[in-house]
Amino acid sequence: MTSHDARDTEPGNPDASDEYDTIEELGPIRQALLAWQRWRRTRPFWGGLLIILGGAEMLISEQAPLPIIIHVGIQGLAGYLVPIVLVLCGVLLWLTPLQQTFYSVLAVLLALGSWITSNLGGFFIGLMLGVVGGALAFAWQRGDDPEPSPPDALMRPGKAPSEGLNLILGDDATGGDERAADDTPPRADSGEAGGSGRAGTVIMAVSAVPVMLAVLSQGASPSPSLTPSPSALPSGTPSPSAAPSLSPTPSTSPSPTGMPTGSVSPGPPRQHGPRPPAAAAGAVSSITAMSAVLTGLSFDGVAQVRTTDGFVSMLMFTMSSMTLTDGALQGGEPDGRSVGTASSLLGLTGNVLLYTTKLTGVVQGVAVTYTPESPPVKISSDTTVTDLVIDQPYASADTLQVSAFQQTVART
Amino acid sequence: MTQNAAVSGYGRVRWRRFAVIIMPALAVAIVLVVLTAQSVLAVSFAISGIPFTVTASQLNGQGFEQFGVLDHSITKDLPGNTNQIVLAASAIRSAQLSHLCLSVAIGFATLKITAGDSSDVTGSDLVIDADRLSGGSATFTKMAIGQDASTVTQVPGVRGPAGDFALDSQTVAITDLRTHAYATTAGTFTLPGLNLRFGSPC
Repeated sequence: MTSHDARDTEPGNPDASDEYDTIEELGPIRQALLAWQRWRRTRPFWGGLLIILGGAEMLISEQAPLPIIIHVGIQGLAGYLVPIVLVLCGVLLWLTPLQQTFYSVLAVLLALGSWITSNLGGFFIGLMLGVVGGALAFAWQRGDDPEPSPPDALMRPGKAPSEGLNLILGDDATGGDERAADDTPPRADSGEAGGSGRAGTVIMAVSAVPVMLAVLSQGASPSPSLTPSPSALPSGTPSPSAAPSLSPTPSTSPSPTGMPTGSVSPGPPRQHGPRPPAAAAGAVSSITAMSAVLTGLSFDGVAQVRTTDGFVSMLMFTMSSMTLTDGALQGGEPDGRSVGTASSLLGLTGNVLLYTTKLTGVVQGVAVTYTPESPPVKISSDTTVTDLVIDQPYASADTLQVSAFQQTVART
Repeated sequence: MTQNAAVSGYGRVRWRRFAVIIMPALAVAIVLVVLTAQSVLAVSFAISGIPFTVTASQLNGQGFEQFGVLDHSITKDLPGNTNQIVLAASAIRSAQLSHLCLSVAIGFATLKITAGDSSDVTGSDLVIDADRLSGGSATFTKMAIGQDASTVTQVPGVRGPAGDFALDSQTVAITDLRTHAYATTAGTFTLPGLNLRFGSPC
């Protein structure tokens, strides 16, 4: 090949060959250093490194523990898959530099795709690292042309597969030409042509990306919205899972526990929709308020409310509204977790249904405690309660209005 | 002998080839940003373990759930030098947010994303695990307080542990929303008027 001579005159790595001439006299550290340098320079090191960093940055920006990934499902999985494959591309660029074209183009495409899947491409930083790294790796030119100066290199057995691959990739040939073009003007044409030809395919491939991505996102975005939409309509009234639980619940309540107190109006709860009785079994949940105004209040008996711990006897109240001043909702779990919502004004209006295991407060200066064992005997329909505490509540209403609210979490 | 092979094997970067691929790639990146800012493209967020702040002047949502969760982090860098944290998981099936701002600390810099100043940001299947959430006022319709977290159905596929306390409502509207969160998952957003820059937290 004529590019042979061009190679010889090329001022590529003259210093390197000098170093290697004296390698035998060098210490082990220097030798290791040279070995490392050799490893580094025989593969698209920097490109691969940037790609790996880009993928890692995306993963760090997501930083998900496994349970959450599983919880997310396939849609969210793409967010992790893209950066993982990106890192893989970087590693494979190092391990199999012969496949550089494939892995580098794939890395660029994945980095661009991460914009959609992975936190805007790791907030753009990972995306840029991936794109620049991919481009660097793509632009990296192997130096092992078949015309190296030392004679034994010609006979290198490892040469054969790389040439075969080069034929497929059409990579080394153009590269050699381009290299030669640096020195010999006539060769410049072919080198240029090869370059622009590849540029054309690359541009085609890359410009296909937005189309692909658009299709992807079109396909992806409806999928979450598709599933909700059917369930959206019925979910307002009953939830299919909650519905069956209702029938056994209140019906059992009036008869066995059937309040000895006469004022109790037994009978099933009003047509409130087949809502609840899948109340939380959490032992420490509560609704508290400095003062509460209850309107249209009636005590409807003791109901057996279904919880995950079995049926629990609860007082059942209905009212038209419940307004809590300096109220708080505390959703606590036995293990000490709790989520609290505090608000200056908390109002439940419209078909308010309240189940509780215990209600304490001060009504007209008298401290009262109601439990299924000692239910209210007489209760006026409009009641103001101060220092209200409702234990293990299950409440539902048409509207809940909360003003100036603050939610905090705690672990005791 | 290996020495010679090594020398001949040395490669280098051809900058023309670099330009050939970096130019269209950057063009595509710009197109992606523009398409996202015009809410043609929907993007996904998944953050976990890094505290971030989300604010919005108004949130309207259809399908709301909330329950307490115990999240784990790989590292013990959560408050209290632990890898466990109690958070309130709020899930919204479909949400419209105006004046959305999301800020997350990356290293020493704070990255800030704003969108939805002119038209609303839309999101679907949002799950956010927050330790603080506050707002000016909130209105929930068809609300249930104290629902068992394993029986909530407002957001398909998102349920809490059995026996846990949960809130559940058909719609939610919150003004001046502000939340400090540690994780968000599977959120798909359109971000009209997207602006991504380094700056002060939301």
